[in-house]
Amino acid sequence: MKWRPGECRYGDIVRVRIGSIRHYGVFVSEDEIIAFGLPPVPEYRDRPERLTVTATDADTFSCGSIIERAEYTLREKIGKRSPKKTVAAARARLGETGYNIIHNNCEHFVNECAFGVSRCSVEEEARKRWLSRPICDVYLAPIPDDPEYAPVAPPERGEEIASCRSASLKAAKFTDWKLLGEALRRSLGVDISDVRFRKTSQGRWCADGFDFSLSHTGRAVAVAVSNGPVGIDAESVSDFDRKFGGEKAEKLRERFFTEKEKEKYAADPSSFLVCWTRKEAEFKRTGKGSFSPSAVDTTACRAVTYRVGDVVVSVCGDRSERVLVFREEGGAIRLIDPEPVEGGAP
Amino acid sequence: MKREEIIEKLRGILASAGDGTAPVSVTEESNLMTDVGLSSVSMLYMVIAIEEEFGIRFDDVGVGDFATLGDVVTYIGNKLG
Repeated sequence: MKWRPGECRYGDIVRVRIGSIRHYGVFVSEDEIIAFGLPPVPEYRDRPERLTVTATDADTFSCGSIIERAEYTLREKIGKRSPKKTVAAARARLGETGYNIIHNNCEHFVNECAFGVSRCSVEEEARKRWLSRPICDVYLAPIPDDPEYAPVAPPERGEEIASCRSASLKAAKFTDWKLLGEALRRSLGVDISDVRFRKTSQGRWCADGFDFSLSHTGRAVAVAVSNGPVGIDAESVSDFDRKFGGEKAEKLRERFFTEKEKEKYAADPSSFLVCWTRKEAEFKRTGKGSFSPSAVDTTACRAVTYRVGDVVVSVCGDRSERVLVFREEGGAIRLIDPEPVEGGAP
Repeated sequence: MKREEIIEKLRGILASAGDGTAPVSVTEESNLMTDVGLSSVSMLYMVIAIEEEFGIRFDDVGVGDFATLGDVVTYIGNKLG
């Protein structure tokens, strides 16, 4: 459907633009345009017919704006009722109330009169936008000292976790997978027990329809879920400082950073972790080969890094325009709003 | 669903539907227009997102029924029974 100013004819669908809103009606004559409600302007705010199917003249309908008439595609022409039936349908609804801005507004009204189908382009567009929005959500949770182990879906993953000899690794993997279940439920509306997981040739768990990535460090786990490829890595700052503080960090930097990364990231431990976690996250996002830190350059990847408590966490995703970060604390998961961090040039 | 759970879900929706306001700080008392800063288009987007996320339909509300986030929470709570 296209809209053009022009001479309106009996049975046309017409509209006017009032600010950012469009008001629709069925044109009968210059003295009779039938619409669901009056245009949303302050002058009409107190009129009783404001949200009723009403016939007005063209001046009242247009509020001084230009009236446009609909021009139909061939397909729309086939589905459209005759002008006579369109006008009859509109007149039959005069006096009707029950206006609803989402589901029963002036555009629904004219489409129902002309095509017999109640629809609104703004509603459809908003729904489409929401359902196709980029999702790249990060979840962080502490690892309990003594988790309450429970069955895990799929059972194969449960067996993997149960077979961990290290108690701390077992706790981390169990907590991470449990958090994945929460993340899938909250961010994608998916029940983990309904997901058909499989393993890639690299031995990484994956599923169809969405991507996820897991990481654990020290006392915390991290999960990313997205409707595009995603990778996450988390590292504990205090653990790193203990193991690689001082000159050791500088040696690691020399060995593993690309020349571009050496220019971009400062020579202090926290900047090292920004780059390092990005390397791992980017590697996980691509899901290819084995991890060779010096072969992954992060200066051009779409990475976002946060410092939450003792943890530096980076996420790389194809849909990372807007990352939401959730944190479990005291058994409840809440959205938090951490500032993204950069490594800073030395 | 508890009110707090509904608000938490709404914060996620606002983060996506809103116009750059940090959704973490919104409370039940936050005014959608003045505090959260939703434009009419964002408001519509938010309503559609709520319908999809909670599986409900805003079929019995009028224009301006929702001033605060608390009003939306109450509406969703009633719809979910």
